[in-house]
Amino acid sequence: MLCLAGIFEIVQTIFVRDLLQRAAYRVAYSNALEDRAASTMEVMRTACLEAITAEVGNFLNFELAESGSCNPPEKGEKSADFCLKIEVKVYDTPTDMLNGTQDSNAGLGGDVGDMVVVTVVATSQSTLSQLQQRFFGNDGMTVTAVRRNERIEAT
Amino acid sequence: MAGRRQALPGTGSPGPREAKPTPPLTRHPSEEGSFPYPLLGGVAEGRNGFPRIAGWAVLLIAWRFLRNTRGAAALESAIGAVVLVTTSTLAFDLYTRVTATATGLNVAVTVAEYVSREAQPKKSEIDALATFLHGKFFPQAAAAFVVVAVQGATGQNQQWTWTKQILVDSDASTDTDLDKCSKVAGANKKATPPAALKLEKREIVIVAEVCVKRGDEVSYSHHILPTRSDTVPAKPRGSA
Repeated sequence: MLCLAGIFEIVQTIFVRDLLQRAAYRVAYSNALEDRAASTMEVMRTACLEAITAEVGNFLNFELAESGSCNPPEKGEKSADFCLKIEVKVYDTPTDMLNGTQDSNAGLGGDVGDMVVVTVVATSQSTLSQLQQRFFGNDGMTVTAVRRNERIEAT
Repeated sequence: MAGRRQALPGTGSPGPREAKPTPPLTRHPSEEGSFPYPLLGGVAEGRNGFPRIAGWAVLLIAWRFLRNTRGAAALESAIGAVVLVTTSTLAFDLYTRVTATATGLNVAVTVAEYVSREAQPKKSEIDALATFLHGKFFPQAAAAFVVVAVQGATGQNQQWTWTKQILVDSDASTDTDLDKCSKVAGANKKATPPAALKLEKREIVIVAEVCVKRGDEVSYSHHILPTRSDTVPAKPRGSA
Protein backbone atom coordinates (compact mmCIF):
# COMPACT_ATOMS: atom_id res chain seq x y z
CA MET A 1 0.00 0.00 0.00
CA LEU A 2 2.84 2.32 0.85
CA CYS A 3 4.47 1.62 -2.50
CA LEU A 4 1.24 2.22 -4.35
CA ALA A 5 0.62 5.44 -2.44
CA GLY A 6 4.14 6.65 -3.23
CA ILE A 7 3.80 5.85 -6.91
CA PHE A 8 0.43 7.58 -7.00
CA GLU A 9 1.92 10.70 -5.43
CA ILE A 10 4.76 10.75 -7.94
CA VAL A 11 2.39 10.37 -10.86
CA GLN A 12 0.14 13.07 -9.44
CA THR A 13 3.09 15.42 -9.05
CA ILE A 14 4.14 14.88 -12.66
CA PHE A 15 0.56 15.33 -13.75
CA VAL A 16 0.06 18.59 -11.85
CA ARG A 17 3.37 20.02 -12.98
CA ASP A 18 2.59 19.19 -16.58
CA LEU A 19 -0.76 20.88 -16.14
CA LEU A 20 0.85 24.02 -14.73
CA GLN A 21 3.38 24.04 -17.55
CA ARG A 22 0.62 23.81 -20.12
CA ALA A 23 -1.30 26.58 -18.42
CA ALA A 24 1.74 28.87 -18.36
CA TYR A 25 2.46 28.08 -22.00
CA ARG A 26 -1.11 28.75 -23.00
CA VAL A 27 -1.15 32.06 -21.15
CA ALA A 28 2.20 33.16 -22.55
CA TYR A 29 1.43 32.26 -26.14
CA SER A 30 -2.22 33.10 -26.13
CA ASN A 31 -3.69 36.24 -27.51
CA ALA A 32 -3.10 37.76 -24.13
CA LEU A 33 0.51 38.52 -24.94
CA GLU A 34 0.80 38.25 -28.66
CA ASP A 35 -2.05 39.99 -30.34
CA ARG A 36 -3.46 42.41 -27.89
CA ALA A 37 -2.24 45.92 -27.49
CA ALA A 38 -3.39 46.06 -23.93
CA SER A 39 -3.48 42.77 -22.13
CA THR A 40 -4.99 42.87 -18.72
CA MET A 41 -4.67 40.40 -15.92
CA GLU A 42 -8.30 39.58 -16.53
CA VAL A 43 -7.45 38.52 -20.08
CA MET A 44 -4.58 36.38 -18.81
CA ARG A 45 -6.79 34.94 -16.13
CA THR A 46 -9.38 33.98 -18.72
CA ALA A 47 -6.69 32.43 -20.91
CA CYS A 48 -5.37 30.41 -17.99
CA LEU A 49 -8.84 29.32 -17.01
CA GLU A 50 -9.58 28.23 -20.55
CA ALA A 51 -6.29 26.38 -20.76
CA ILE A 52 -6.74 24.42 -17.57
CA THR A 53 -10.38 23.73 -18.21
CA ALA A 54 -9.61 22.48 -21.68
CA GLU A 55 -6.73 20.31 -20.55
CA VAL A 56 -7.77 18.64 -17.33
CA GLY A 57 -10.63 20.63 -15.94
CA ASN A 58 -12.67 17.51 -15.54
CA PHE A 59 -10.06 15.75 -13.47
CA LEU A 60 -8.68 18.39 -11.15
CA ASN A 61 -10.50 20.50 -8.64
CA PHE A 62 -8.91 23.95 -8.75
CA GLU A 63 -9.61 27.57 -8.08
CA LEU A 64 -7.95 30.56 -9.69
CA ALA A 65 -6.68 33.14 -7.24
CA GLU A 66 -8.04 36.62 -7.36
CA SER A 67 -5.96 39.47 -5.99
CA GLY A 68 -3.26 37.18 -4.72
CA SER A 69 -5.23 34.59 -2.83
CA CYS A 70 -8.07 32.18 -3.23
CA ASN A 71 -11.40 32.86 -1.67
CA PRO A 72 -12.04 30.85 1.49
CA PRO A 73 -14.75 28.24 1.02
CA GLU A 74 -18.17 29.18 2.20
CA LYS A 75 -19.78 27.31 5.00
CA GLY A 76 -20.74 23.83 3.96
CA GLU A 77 -18.64 23.98 0.81
CA LYS A 78 -15.51 22.00 0.21
CA SER A 79 -12.44 24.00 -0.69
CA ALA A 80 -10.70 23.37 -3.99
CA ASP A 81 -7.76 20.98 -4.04
CA PHE A 82 -5.47 23.53 -5.65
CA CYS A 83 -5.30 27.29 -5.67
CA LEU A 84 -3.59 28.62 -8.81
CA LYS A 85 -1.83 31.96 -9.05
CA ILE A 86 -0.49 33.62 -12.18
CA GLU A 87 2.65 35.72 -12.06
CA VAL A 88 3.78 37.79 -15.04
CA LYS A 89 7.14 39.50 -15.07
CA VAL A 90 8.55 41.56 -17.91
CA TYR A 91 12.25 42.15 -18.54
CA ASP A 92 14.01 44.26 -21.14
CA THR A 93 16.59 41.64 -22.10
CA PRO A 94 17.57 38.07 -21.19
CA THR A 95 20.47 39.49 -19.20
CA ASP A 96 18.03 41.48 -17.09
CA MET A 97 15.97 38.33 -16.73
CA LEU A 98 19.00 36.47 -15.45
CA ASN A 99 19.89 39.26 -13.05
CA GLY A 100 16.31 39.72 -11.90
CA THR A 101 16.13 43.33 -13.02
CA GLN A 102 12.59 43.90 -14.12
CA ASP A 103 11.47 46.26 -16.84
CA SER A 104 12.23 49.84 -16.04
CA ASN A 105 8.81 50.83 -17.27
CA ALA A 106 6.18 51.23 -14.65
CA GLY A 107 3.87 48.34 -13.94
CA LEU A 108 3.90 45.27 -16.13
CA GLY A 109 4.09 47.00 -19.45
CA GLY A 110 6.15 45.40 -22.19
CA ASP A 111 7.56 46.65 -25.48
CA VAL A 112 8.31 44.56 -28.49
CA GLY A 113 11.33 42.38 -27.84
CA ASP A 114 10.88 42.36 -24.09
CA MET A 115 11.08 39.03 -22.34
CA VAL A 116 7.95 37.89 -20.56
CA VAL A 117 8.05 35.22 -17.88
CA VAL A 118 4.71 33.66 -17.05
CA THR A 119 4.60 31.46 -13.97
CA VAL A 120 1.58 29.54 -12.75
CA VAL A 121 1.97 28.51 -9.13
CA ALA A 122 -0.21 25.93 -7.40
CA THR A 123 -0.76 25.86 -3.67
CA SER A 124 -2.50 22.95 -2.09
CA GLN A 125 -4.63 22.78 1.02
CA SER A 126 -3.10 19.45 2.00
CA THR A 127 -0.01 19.60 4.20
CA LEU A 128 1.39 16.47 2.58
CA SER A 129 0.91 17.93 -0.88
CA GLN A 130 2.53 21.17 0.23
CA LEU A 131 5.61 19.33 1.42
CA GLN A 132 5.68 17.20 -1.67
CA GLN A 133 5.29 20.18 -4.00
CA ARG A 134 7.88 22.16 -2.10
CA PHE A 135 10.37 19.41 -2.80
CA PHE A 136 9.38 18.60 -6.37
CA GLY A 137 8.25 22.07 -7.38
CA ASN A 138 4.79 23.42 -7.80
CA ASP A 139 5.00 25.79 -10.69
CA GLY A 140 5.02 25.87 -14.44
CA MET A 141 6.97 28.58 -16.21
CA THR A 142 7.19 29.74 -19.79
CA VAL A 143 9.46 32.41 -21.22
CA THR A 144 8.44 34.26 -24.34
CA ALA A 145 8.78 37.71 -25.80
CA VAL A 146 6.48 40.44 -26.95
CA ARG A 147 6.23 39.92 -30.65
CA ARG A 148 3.89 42.50 -32.05
CA ASN A 149 4.94 46.06 -32.39
CA GLU A 150 2.47 46.99 -29.75
CA ARG A 151 2.83 47.76 -26.16
CA ILE A 152 1.12 45.49 -23.69
CA GLU A 153 -0.12 46.53 -20.34
CA ALA A 154 -1.01 44.03 -17.67
CA THR A 155 -2.74 45.79 -14.87
CA MET B 1 -18.90 -43.94 36.99
CA ALA B 2 -21.94 -41.81 37.51
CA GLY B 3 -23.34 -39.93 34.54
CA ARG B 4 -21.64 -42.08 31.93
CA ARG B 5 -23.55 -44.35 29.59
CA GLN B 6 -22.39 -47.88 29.30
CA ALA B 7 -22.30 -49.55 25.86
CA LEU B 8 -24.95 -52.18 25.41
CA PRO B 9 -23.51 -55.58 24.59
CA GLY B 10 -23.96 -56.58 20.94
CA THR B 11 -25.11 -53.21 19.68
CA GLY B 12 -21.72 -52.26 18.31
CA SER B 13 -22.12 -48.79 19.62
CA PRO B 14 -18.99 -47.23 20.81
CA GLY B 15 -18.23 -47.21 24.37
CA PRO B 16 -17.69 -44.25 26.47
CA ARG B 17 -15.13 -41.89 25.13
CA GLU B 18 -11.96 -42.17 26.99
CA ALA B 19 -9.93 -39.04 27.28
CA LYS B 20 -6.89 -39.40 25.10
CA PRO B 21 -3.73 -38.86 26.95
CA THR B 22 -2.14 -35.58 26.01
CA PRO B 23 1.12 -36.20 24.25
CA PRO B 24 4.07 -34.77 26.01
CA LEU B 25 5.31 -31.45 24.74
CA THR B 26 8.19 -32.11 22.45
CA ARG B 27 10.29 -29.89 20.28
CA HIS B 28 9.67 -29.79 16.58
CA PRO B 29 11.79 -32.26 14.63
CA SER B 30 13.47 -29.41 12.82
CA GLU B 31 14.55 -28.07 16.15
CA GLU B 32 15.83 -31.34 17.34
CA GLY B 33 18.52 -31.47 14.71
CA SER B 34 17.36 -34.82 13.37
CA PHE B 35 16.18 -35.25 9.84
CA PRO B 36 12.42 -35.85 9.88
CA TYR B 37 12.43 -38.61 7.31
CA PRO B 38 14.73 -41.28 8.58
CA LEU B 39 13.74 -43.71 5.80
CA LEU B 40 15.02 -41.27 3.21
CA GLY B 41 18.07 -40.53 5.18
CA GLY B 42 19.10 -43.65 6.87
CA VAL B 43 22.25 -42.05 8.00
CA ALA B 44 23.68 -42.54 11.35
CA GLU B 45 23.57 -39.44 13.40
CA GLY B 46 26.67 -37.89 14.76
CA ARG B 47 26.99 -35.71 17.78
CA ASN B 48 24.01 -33.53 18.61
CA GLY B 49 21.91 -35.35 16.05
CA PHE B 50 23.74 -34.02 12.98
CA PRO B 51 24.23 -36.50 10.17
CA ARG B 52 27.74 -37.43 9.30
CA ILE B 53 27.44 -36.85 5.58
CA ALA B 54 27.98 -33.27 4.42
CA GLY B 55 25.23 -33.41 1.75
CA TRP B 56 22.69 -34.31 4.33
CA ALA B 57 23.94 -31.53 6.51
CA VAL B 58 23.10 -29.01 3.83
CA LEU B 59 19.63 -30.48 3.45
CA LEU B 60 19.21 -30.44 7.16
CA ILE B 61 20.16 -26.79 7.42
CA ALA B 62 17.81 -25.90 4.57
CA TRP B 63 15.02 -27.89 6.17
CA ARG B 64 15.58 -26.16 9.48
CA PHE B 65 15.55 -22.79 7.78
CA LEU B 66 12.28 -23.53 6.01
CA ARG B 67 10.58 -24.87 9.09
CA ASN B 68 11.80 -22.25 11.49
CA THR B 69 9.39 -19.38 11.96
CA ARG B 70 11.37 -17.49 14.51
CA GLY B 71 12.54 -14.09 13.25
CA ALA B 72 9.95 -14.00 10.48
CA ALA B 73 9.08 -10.39 11.25
CA ALA B 74 12.68 -9.33 10.88
CA LEU B 75 13.00 -11.16 7.59
CA GLU B 76 9.78 -9.67 6.25
CA SER B 77 10.93 -6.21 7.30
CA ALA B 78 14.25 -6.70 5.55
CA ILE B 79 12.61 -7.89 2.33
CA GLY B 80 9.97 -5.16 2.57
CA ALA B 81 12.63 -2.50 3.06
CA VAL B 82 14.44 -3.65 -0.07
CA VAL B 83 11.20 -3.52 -2.05
CA LEU B 84 10.37 -0.05 -0.71
CA VAL B 85 13.80 1.37 -1.42
CA THR B 86 13.83 -0.13 -4.92
CA THR B 87 10.37 1.19 -5.71
CA SER B 88 11.21 4.65 -4.39
CA THR B 89 14.40 4.76 -6.42
CA LEU B 90 12.60 3.68 -9.57
CA ALA B 91 9.81 6.20 -9.00
CA PHE B 92 12.26 9.05 -8.45
CA ASP B 93 14.21 7.99 -11.53
CA LEU B 94 10.99 7.94 -13.55
CA TYR B 95 10.10 11.40 -12.25
CA THR B 96 13.56 12.74 -13.11
CA ARG B 97 13.42 11.37 -16.63
CA VAL B 98 9.93 12.64 -17.37
CA THR B 99 10.76 16.06 -15.95
CA ALA B 100 14.05 16.27 -17.84
CA THR B 101 12.35 15.43 -21.12
CA ALA B 102 9.52 17.91 -20.61
CA THR B 103 11.83 20.69 -19.43
CA GLY B 104 14.29 20.03 -22.25
CA LEU B 105 11.56 20.35 -24.84
CA ASN B 106 10.24 23.52 -23.25
CA VAL B 107 13.69 25.07 -23.08
CA ALA B 108 14.42 24.15 -26.70
CA VAL B 109 11.20 25.85 -27.80
CA THR B 110 12.10 29.00 -25.89
CA VAL B 111 15.62 29.22 -27.31
CA ALA B 112 14.49 28.49 -30.86
CA GLU B 113 11.72 31.04 -30.60
CA TYR B 114 14.02 33.72 -29.26
CA VAL B 115 16.69 33.26 -31.94
CA SER B 116 14.22 32.88 -34.78
CA ARG B 117 12.76 36.26 -33.93
CA GLU B 118 16.04 38.12 -33.78
CA ALA B 119 17.65 39.38 -36.96
CA GLN B 120 20.93 39.96 -35.18
CA PRO B 121 20.97 37.86 -32.01
CA LYS B 122 23.58 38.86 -29.50
CA LYS B 123 25.91 36.27 -28.08
CA SER B 124 25.71 37.55 -24.52
CA GLU B 125 21.90 37.56 -24.59
CA ILE B 126 21.71 33.98 -25.79
CA ASP B 127 24.20 33.02 -23.10
CA ALA B 128 22.07 34.77 -20.47
CA LEU B 129 18.91 33.11 -21.77
CA ALA B 130 20.57 29.69 -21.67
CA THR B 131 21.84 30.26 -18.15
CA PHE B 132 18.41 31.40 -17.00
CA LEU B 133 16.66 28.43 -18.59
CA HIS B 134 19.22 26.06 -17.13
CA GLY B 135 17.79 26.93 -13.72
CA LYS B 136 14.58 25.17 -14.68
CA PHE B 137 16.23 21.78 -14.64
CA PHE B 138 15.80 19.77 -11.47
CA PRO B 139 18.05 18.40 -10.21
CA GLN B 140 20.73 20.67 -11.60
CA ALA B 141 23.08 19.10 -14.09
CA ALA B 142 25.54 20.05 -16.78
CA ALA B 143 23.81 21.09 -19.98
CA ALA B 144 24.64 22.07 -23.52
CA PHE B 145 22.56 24.41 -25.67
CA VAL B 146 23.24 24.30 -29.39
CA VAL B 147 21.65 26.73 -31.82
CA VAL B 148 22.01 26.00 -35.52
CA ALA B 149 20.85 28.14 -38.42
CA VAL B 150 20.35 26.24 -41.66
CA GLN B 151 19.23 27.50 -45.03
CA GLY B 152 17.83 25.32 -47.75
CA ALA B 153 19.71 25.32 -51.02
CA THR B 154 19.45 23.70 -54.41
CA GLY B 155 20.59 20.12 -54.51
CA GLN B 156 20.51 17.48 -51.86
CA ASN B 157 22.34 19.24 -49.09
CA GLN B 158 21.39 22.28 -47.14
CA GLN B 159 23.44 25.39 -47.14
CA TRP B 160 25.36 25.65 -43.92
CA THR B 161 25.07 28.92 -42.07
CA TRP B 162 26.24 28.97 -38.46
CA THR B 163 26.11 27.17 -35.16
CA LYS B 164 26.58 28.26 -31.60
CA GLN B 165 27.09 26.05 -28.59
CA ILE B 166 26.71 27.08 -24.97
CA LEU B 167 27.82 24.87 -22.11
CA VAL B 168 26.35 25.56 -18.68
CA ASP B 169 27.70 24.09 -15.45
CA SER B 170 30.01 21.91 -17.47
CA ASP B 171 33.50 20.82 -16.62
CA ALA B 172 36.20 18.69 -18.14
CA SER B 173 34.40 15.48 -17.23
CA THR B 174 31.20 16.44 -19.03
CA ASP B 175 32.53 18.53 -21.89
CA THR B 176 33.42 15.48 -23.95
CA ASP B 177 29.89 14.10 -23.95
CA LEU B 178 28.14 17.44 -24.29
CA ASP B 179 30.33 18.41 -27.23
CA LYS B 180 28.63 15.61 -29.14
CA CYS B 181 25.19 16.94 -28.28
CA SER B 182 24.22 18.33 -31.66
CA LYS B 183 22.79 15.87 -34.15
CA VAL B 184 22.47 18.56 -36.80
CA ALA B 185 25.76 20.37 -36.63
CA GLY B 186 27.97 17.33 -36.31
CA ALA B 187 30.96 16.80 -34.11
CA ASN B 188 33.21 19.47 -35.57
CA LYS B 189 30.42 22.05 -35.93
CA LYS B 190 31.42 22.60 -39.55
CA ALA B 191 30.15 19.48 -41.24
CA THR B 192 27.39 19.63 -43.80
CA PRO B 193 24.05 19.37 -42.04
CA PRO B 194 22.14 16.17 -42.67
CA ALA B 195 19.79 16.16 -45.61
CA ALA B 196 17.12 14.76 -43.33
CA LEU B 197 15.90 18.29 -42.69
CA LYS B 198 14.65 18.39 -46.30
CA LEU B 199 14.35 22.12 -46.45
CA GLU B 200 12.80 23.91 -49.37
CA LYS B 201 14.94 26.16 -51.50
CA ARG B 202 16.18 29.13 -49.48
CA GLU B 203 14.04 28.10 -46.53
CA ILE B 204 15.65 29.12 -43.25
CA VAL B 205 15.17 27.30 -39.97
CA ILE B 206 16.58 27.61 -36.51
CA VAL B 207 17.31 24.34 -34.72
CA ALA B 208 17.69 24.51 -30.94
CA GLU B 209 19.13 21.42 -29.31
CA VAL B 210 19.41 20.84 -25.59
CA CYS B 211 21.43 18.10 -23.92
CA VAL B 212 21.48 17.43 -20.19
CA LYS B 213 23.99 15.04 -18.67
CA ARG B 214 23.03 13.17 -15.50
CA GLY B 215 25.32 10.42 -14.43
CA ASP B 216 26.26 8.49 -17.52
CA GLU B 217 23.17 9.40 -19.49
CA VAL B 218 22.63 12.38 -21.76
CA SER B 219 19.05 13.37 -22.51
CA TYR B 220 18.42 15.10 -25.82
CA SER B 221 15.66 17.48 -26.89
CA HIS B 222 15.34 19.69 -29.93
CA HIS B 223 12.95 22.08 -31.61
CA ILE B 224 12.92 23.46 -35.13
CA LEU B 225 11.37 26.79 -36.04
CA PRO B 226 11.38 28.81 -39.26
CA THR B 227 12.77 32.30 -38.98
CA ARG B 228 10.36 35.19 -38.96
CA SER B 229 12.13 37.06 -41.73
CA ASP B 230 13.55 36.20 -45.14
CA THR B 231 17.13 36.82 -44.12
CA VAL B 232 19.38 34.44 -42.26
CA PRO B 233 19.93 35.66 -38.70
CA ALA B 234 23.45 36.88 -38.27
CA LYS B 235 25.78 34.69 -36.28
CA PRO B 236 25.54 35.71 -32.63
CA ARG B 237 28.47 37.83 -31.66
CA GLY B 238 29.30 40.77 -29.47
CA SER B 239 27.76 41.76 -26.19
CA ALA B 240 24.66 43.66 -25.25
